[in-house]
Amino acid sequence: MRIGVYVCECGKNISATVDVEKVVDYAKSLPYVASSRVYKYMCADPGQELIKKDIEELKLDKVIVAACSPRMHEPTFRAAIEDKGLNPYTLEIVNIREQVSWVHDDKKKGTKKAKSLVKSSVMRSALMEPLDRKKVGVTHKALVIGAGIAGIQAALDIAGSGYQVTLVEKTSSIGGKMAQLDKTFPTLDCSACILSPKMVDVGRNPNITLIANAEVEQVDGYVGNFEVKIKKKPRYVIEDKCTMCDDCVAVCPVIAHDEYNQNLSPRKAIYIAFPQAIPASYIIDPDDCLGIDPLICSKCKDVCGPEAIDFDMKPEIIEDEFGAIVVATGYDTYPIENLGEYGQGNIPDVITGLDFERLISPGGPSTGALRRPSDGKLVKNVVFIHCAGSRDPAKHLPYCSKICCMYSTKQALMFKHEVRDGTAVNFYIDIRTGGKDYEEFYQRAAEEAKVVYIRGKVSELIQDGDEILVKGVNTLTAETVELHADLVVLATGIIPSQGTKDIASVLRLSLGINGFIKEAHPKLKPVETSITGVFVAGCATGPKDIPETVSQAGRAAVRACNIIAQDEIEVEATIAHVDEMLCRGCGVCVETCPYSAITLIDTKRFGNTYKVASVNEALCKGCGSCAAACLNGAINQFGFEDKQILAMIQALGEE
Amino acid sequence: MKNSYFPGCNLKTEAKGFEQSAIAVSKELDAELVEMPEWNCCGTVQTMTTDNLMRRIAPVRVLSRASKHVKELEGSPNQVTTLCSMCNSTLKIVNAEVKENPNDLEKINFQLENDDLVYEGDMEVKHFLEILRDNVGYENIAKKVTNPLEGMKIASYYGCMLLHPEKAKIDDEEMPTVMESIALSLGAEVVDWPYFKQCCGSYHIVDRDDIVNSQVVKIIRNAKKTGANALIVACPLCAYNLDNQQVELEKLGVEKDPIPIFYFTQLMAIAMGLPQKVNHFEDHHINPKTLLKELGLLGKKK
Repeated sequence: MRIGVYVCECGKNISATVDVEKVVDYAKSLPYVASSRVYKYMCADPGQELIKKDIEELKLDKVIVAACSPRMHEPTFRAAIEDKGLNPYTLEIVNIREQVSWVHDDKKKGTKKAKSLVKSSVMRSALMEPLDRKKVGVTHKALVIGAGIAGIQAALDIAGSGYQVTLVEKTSSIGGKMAQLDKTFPTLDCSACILSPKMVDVGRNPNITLIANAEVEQVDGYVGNFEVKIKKKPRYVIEDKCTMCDDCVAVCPVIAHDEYNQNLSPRKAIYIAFPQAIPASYIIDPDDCLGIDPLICSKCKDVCGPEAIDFDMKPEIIEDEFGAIVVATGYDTYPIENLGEYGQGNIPDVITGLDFERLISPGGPSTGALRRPSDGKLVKNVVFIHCAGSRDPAKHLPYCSKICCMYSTKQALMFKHEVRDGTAVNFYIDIRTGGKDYEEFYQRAAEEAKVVYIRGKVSELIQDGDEILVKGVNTLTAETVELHADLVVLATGIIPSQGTKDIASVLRLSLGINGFIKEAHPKLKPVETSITGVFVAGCATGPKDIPETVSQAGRAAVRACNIIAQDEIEVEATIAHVDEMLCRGCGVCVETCPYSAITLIDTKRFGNTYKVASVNEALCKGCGSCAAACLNGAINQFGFEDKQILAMIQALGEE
Repeated sequence: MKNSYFPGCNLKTEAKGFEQSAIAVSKELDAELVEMPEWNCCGTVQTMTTDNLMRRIAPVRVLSRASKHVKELEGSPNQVTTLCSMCNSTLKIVNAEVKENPNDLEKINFQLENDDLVYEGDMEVKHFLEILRDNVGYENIAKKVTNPLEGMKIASYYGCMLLHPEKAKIDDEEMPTVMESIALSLGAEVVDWPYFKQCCGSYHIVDRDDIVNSQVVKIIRNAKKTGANALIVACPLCAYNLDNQQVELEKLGVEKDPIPIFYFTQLMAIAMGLPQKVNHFEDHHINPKTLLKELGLLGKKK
């Protein structure tokens, strides 16, 4: 057995708190070690060459690199040693940067710790065995969940690369929150005008299968081979037959809240979400309709010329296989009911930013003239409150929702364009204009349009006659401010949507502390998730504006195509394996496995049938949970065998 | 059940009606308030304005004596009950602080040695409103009502101390319901009004009554606007400011038609048909009897 130990200085990252020369000398004294060297940047080409040369000249069997976290450069060094004929799984990485030099400042202690870790790794390395890489086939088709701007863009980009993609949307139409916006910042172009061409493209693209009014119920399988069950709820209107003539709406006797208009206007039980909706078909809301069960009313069916209405439609389960999945389930806004200081939703003229978008939209409840919800009065004075629920770790959301400064500025500008002699006041904590042309947009609002900006929070909103008394503070002048407004708009923060939470539990995705889906790496893997083959785009990972969402959707599409373009892909080699003789079939591992990779199967032993655990090699991620949980020590993980771990512990204990 | 009760200074002087009505009501509801012996000032604003541990001695002494008192009362929980919002706030905050910082408690206990006292950190501080809500229950209050307060439209005024800060609050700071629920169980109507925790002006009454006046006029006008014909309060200082300054405002010609200020326990006593003398209405600046007479609620016995 000949092991080479290579210690990295990482510039000064490691050498400042670890005496690398001493570590090298120490390594040379350890058993099996045939060579030990130090280099300034082991990951650089000359560093790799050093290792390769030693493998050839000194006939090394195993290589240990003492450097940064294996999350950074394990693939680099695995490729390097494979180049010289070694099995990539005989590489061992000792993390002396994140776990030693970055967390200690005493060089003596740091060096001692680095030595111990190197020693334990040598002991493990001696017991490491070559492993085989496994390959699985790939379904050349992608699934995109959620059809807001992120999902639409991802689906179009995947389809544009020539692959089949299925787009699943929970509501009756694609478009998401962007379809509800009147205008977009910083250009004030009409949201529907830039979104609807993309929506039409989705409807037309032969590579895209759109399933609206549906939810993903179950996902099994693994990268390249996801088996998905989609529940399509009944629309009660046959999409292909509906001609959108609107005859049914006139006769429908039921009046319900219009969700698209933020419940600020009525709709019928049979309706279309908005004129540009895709699929271009009406839908019946079964909760409102009198015709579903029991059949009390069938007025719409009676007048429908093309006979598109079918009260007997049932939910449908669609089963399909996909190679990769893009999650684009978007966001909700922080509930106004949680904001006690702003009336908890009990003051009718205190509304959210999304409500404002609908109120000022020509297609909205007051056909564009900005009338307030309580009495329909035209609005002259409006107050925008930034960070309503954001940046408030004591009571609400700790984080910045990123888009609110800009959307409140946009709304104030829209208001000033609509009501020239009106007053728009913004209360803000900081104005954050971190985007292209955003600062100029803010300057334009403040200087040209005379939108008033007051730095400070509003402490309280009080209904005072038919006006709202806004009590706040100006933190630049240290004065309290009290003013009356006709309408108050809360820039409510962004929170993970219900759909995001649901899909995270279906897919078993890791969530961050605020409930958004966690990226595999916050900077370098922003659309990858904890599950290989599942990608994420848009606000499902956190607050984002439209340009960022669209770019992210593009990357998610490329990453999905990376997988579905291949005929077969490699899966993890460091997976769990069961010693059937030791397994007693208790099933603890089945419950422990977060990937449902273990099942109990029957096995014959001495003429009797026993239950034993069996690992699905394609599903196993090599997390090691089962190996740790197994009471009999019957499960081991390739690359992390008990004997290797015990050897490491023993080496550390000897210090 | 008997509760160890800490009165505080105001309850013996300005707010006799609050104390005596509360004790009478508590007996009716089997949650009797029994005055603890040898109580001293809670420490009030002095306590909370600095970090000085010296200023925490008074409230901790109260807690340790109350702790002794509950052991003498049969079946009493380890809690001391207050009526005044300020006493409640001071005792609650100090109690939480010394429980969190055992070192501070040790230092304070060292000072209590002269009194042969030691506080173990084993008490809870409760406002009488909490006892009514959590131990008695609104249904049981309603059961004792013989003289429902028909015609009373009540604005419940919490002021600042009952709801702030976090350590001392007795209900949701944005949407409290305890006083409204009690008023409803007495058969009164309640109004939904936004000024329920607007500051009354507090101690500014001593030297800047203009500040207090400007607060009181806002509060009273809003209460009237929402249709209230009476206010209920749980703090002697709020009561004084709202009651006395309405009279002053009338003299100044700023606001006419004052509305009476009640302690919530006074209305409970009336609704339960208890003897009138416990209410000490003679101490009020705006005579509450005018309204009660108008509504035919005066002089009814159970």
